[in-house]
Amino acid sequence: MLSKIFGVISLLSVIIAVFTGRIQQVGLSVAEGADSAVRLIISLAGMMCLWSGIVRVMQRTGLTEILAKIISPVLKIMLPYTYKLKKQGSKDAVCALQSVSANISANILGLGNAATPLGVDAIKKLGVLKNKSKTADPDAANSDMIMFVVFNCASFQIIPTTLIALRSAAGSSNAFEVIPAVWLCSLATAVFAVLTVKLFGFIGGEKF
Amino acid sequence: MTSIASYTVPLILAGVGFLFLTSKKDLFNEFIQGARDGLETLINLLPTLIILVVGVSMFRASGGLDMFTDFLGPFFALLNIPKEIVGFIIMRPFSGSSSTAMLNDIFTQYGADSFAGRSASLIMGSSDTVFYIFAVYFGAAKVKKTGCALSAALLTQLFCAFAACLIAGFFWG
Repeated sequence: MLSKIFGVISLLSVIIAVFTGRIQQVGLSVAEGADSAVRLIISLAGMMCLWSGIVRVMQRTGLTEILAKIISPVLKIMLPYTYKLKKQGSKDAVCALQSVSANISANILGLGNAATPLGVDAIKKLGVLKNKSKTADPDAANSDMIMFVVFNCASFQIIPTTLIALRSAAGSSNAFEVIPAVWLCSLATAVFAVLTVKLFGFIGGEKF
Repeated sequence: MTSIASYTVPLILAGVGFLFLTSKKDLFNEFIQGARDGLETLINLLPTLIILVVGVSMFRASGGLDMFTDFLGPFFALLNIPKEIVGFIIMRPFSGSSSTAMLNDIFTQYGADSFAGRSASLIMGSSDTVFYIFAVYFGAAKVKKTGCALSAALLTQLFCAFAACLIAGFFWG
């Protein structure tokens, strides 16, 4: 993906520069860009390390368990199929819900590196549950899987570490002031994601 | 509002200090480990970020970014989204490091405390790299037919941009 993005951008830049006569500026921008990337990483380092450390401390003092409790009722609305199986006494469903909850908690704490393997684990388990239904198409995702993935595209973080580090590196007068607004925006986006998947499923004739 | 906000960060750090003093676990070591993980993330990000920031700088210098945002700007203007952040919004679902490069470009061009900087901050904090997540998750589950998932996810990203500008306007407008 990244190679394609850079390929398209660099080719377009040179072609456009030929027409706009700005090829010299483009040449200068290369050195400037490389330089500013390194300066950016260095200026990010302090805040990034500090907040990653603090988040890890929060995680170790039981915040993960508290989050799992808060998430549980939300999952009931999001993943009705898996919850139905859990009610019928399926141990796999309990296992899948635990993985989903662990993935969402890791995302909320901003542990991106931990969240992805947990999420992979969760979607695999949801897939196994789906294939237990005789009518399920083995190549197609069911509504719970779609909900899980789309919900993952709406991010919710208690402390958005990279964002704060970037803002403070850019000389923001108060890098943290955006946090309450980010929470509000994340909440709105997450609610919209759940409603959209439900609505699309409803239009598609799926039963919930 | 500002006075409460100025208490937040010192209080969080005091809270961490309190935990260090009261907990039986070796939390200081956990902090060090977490900080090291943060540093590792940054070091891993550097090589990728260099080529992407160069790409974004070239695109801006050639005038391509302005042409692009001038072209798509009117559509986003219908949702009250400023054209300064259109490039960033388009890039966001494709790649995390590219959108980091674009976000930093917005911060340096217009300032982190500008309306564009603040709305882009909200988008960065509330959205994710749709295409990457789809590839990794649906790939892992060996699913080929994803139904309405992609359109729902992209619609959500667009809503996120709309909500971010609305909320930024409400907080700082």
